[in-house]
Amino acid sequence: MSSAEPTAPLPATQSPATLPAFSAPVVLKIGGIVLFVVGLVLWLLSFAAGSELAWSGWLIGSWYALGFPLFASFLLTINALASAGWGATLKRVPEAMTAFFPVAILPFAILAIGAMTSNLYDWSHHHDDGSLHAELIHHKEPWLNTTFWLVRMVVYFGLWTGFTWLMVRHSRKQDIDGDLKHTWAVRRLAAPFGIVFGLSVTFASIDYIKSIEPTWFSTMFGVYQFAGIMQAGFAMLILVLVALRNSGHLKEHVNENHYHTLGIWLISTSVFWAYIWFCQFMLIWYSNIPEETQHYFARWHGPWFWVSFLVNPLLNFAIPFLFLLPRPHKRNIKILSGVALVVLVGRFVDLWQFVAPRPKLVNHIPEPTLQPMETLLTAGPVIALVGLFIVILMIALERAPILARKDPFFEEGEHHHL
Amino acid sequence: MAKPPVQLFCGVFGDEDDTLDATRACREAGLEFHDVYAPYAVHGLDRAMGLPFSKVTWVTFCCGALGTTIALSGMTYASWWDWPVNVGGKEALPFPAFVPITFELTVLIGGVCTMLGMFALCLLYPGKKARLLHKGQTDDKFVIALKKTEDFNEQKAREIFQRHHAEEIATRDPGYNAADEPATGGAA
Repeated sequence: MSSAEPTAPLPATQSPATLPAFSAPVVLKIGGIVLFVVGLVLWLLSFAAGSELAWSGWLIGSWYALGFPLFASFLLTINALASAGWGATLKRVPEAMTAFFPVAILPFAILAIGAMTSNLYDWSHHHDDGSLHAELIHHKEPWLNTTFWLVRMVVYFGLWTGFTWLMVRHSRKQDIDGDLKHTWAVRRLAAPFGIVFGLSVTFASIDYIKSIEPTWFSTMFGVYQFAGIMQAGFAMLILVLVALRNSGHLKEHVNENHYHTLGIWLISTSVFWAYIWFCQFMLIWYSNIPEETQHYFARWHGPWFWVSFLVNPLLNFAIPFLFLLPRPHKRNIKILSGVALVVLVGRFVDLWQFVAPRPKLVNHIPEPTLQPMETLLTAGPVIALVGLFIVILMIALERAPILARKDPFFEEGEHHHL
Repeated sequence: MAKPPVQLFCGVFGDEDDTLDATRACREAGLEFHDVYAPYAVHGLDRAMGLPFSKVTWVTFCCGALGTTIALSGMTYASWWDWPVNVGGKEALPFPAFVPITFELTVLIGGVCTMLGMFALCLLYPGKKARLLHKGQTDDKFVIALKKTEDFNEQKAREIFQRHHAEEIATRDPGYNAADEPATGGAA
């Protein structure tokens, strides 16, 4: 097994078949498998605390892990559309991340079992008991019914897998022929995909996350999830690059200037997340309309307050903002990867405080049925599916040379400086 | 551009990367800069020149903090101290409602003062006459201006400029202003 990267352009006489394949560090593969098994065991244990809690955890984990390929597809899209050269030397990592789309169908198929067999979604086992709550859900049936929910799932995954498969295929073909037409092809795919991505992520976030509180209204929910997905995605990309660097890969071509750029992205997506998080809260707090405030009411009173309004903005905004503000910190790989780790925990907290409280109306007042400490096992599926994601990422990285040397932006990416 | 006390040895470049490399080489050779001029902000030029941390940052920070203070104290005074009004049953000091205004004033005052602070540090004011070392320095050319001090190594400087594809090398008197020169044919 060779971990050496080519240091000089390949001689012209070398045939495409001998392009050096990348062999992923074994430690990362094994680490991913260990995480997967440990997380799965934690998840099975959580069934002891009730199937509703266990399926909440599976929902958090599935959506959490799906965020990484979604982020990667969008990063490739905006880099292609903006002619961004800085990412050309590291683009094989986000490209490999998108390989998780077809695999992520599996956790979502398992989620569908949970949706149909447990109380995870109010609307999936709808009983018309004459209450106002039932009446409201009844009006949403044209959209929120199991059949259409499954059809939409197929459509989302079809679009995501299809578009990214085509984009990655063009990028890998360019490794062999170096033809500029592949760059244009990726761009032609990226423009419509930007629109497809915006709509599909909005609808998917409503379908999977927001519809656990089907009578709650928020017009900002799609962009709120988009912000979280991008923030956690950059954190994951940084950690993957650092892990590869520590095993001796991508040391020269991804240097402190590239980490600086990723650090700028991480701090700006953190600020964007905080902006959207606060906007959603403040507008609802201000107008004080019951169908909007019900979501925050259950979290504002009681122990969830500390999670939702203190730990969540601390991990997702205050720490990345303060630690990444100085220029040298963005160029320091230790500080940057530490902050990235905090942001990944913060992303779990953000989804956890949303999914796990499961508020129910008690005398017309929404009250959480589960308290924070009772629901920590919902982290199990997150650990499991992050492990699965890492294994799939490593397998996908081995499918192509780690450096896209014939990308027309490769040289610009090599000389990228800030 | 402040009037230099000594003659300047100027190299004119047409490329950003050449300028950056030449600037680094001049610094390593111990040549003293008057300044380096570029038509737009060039990443890393300040570090290549060895400039200290910009003072503008502190202007931004202090004025941003001033904006935060004005916003919070102003709103607290108006809506709580001076004339408390019940707005939709909210508490007298509704912090969430203060956040957007505090943010806006912080950014506004911080941003405007950054611009004013930059003008002050560059000695710029409306109607100031342009002082240029080369007509293209606000268009598409980069100028490295070195101080011709007594121990100035002209041979070395010329060699560095030529090695980095300088388009023009010239010595300029302290009072020289390219803006005064008549247009030399062409499309001008």
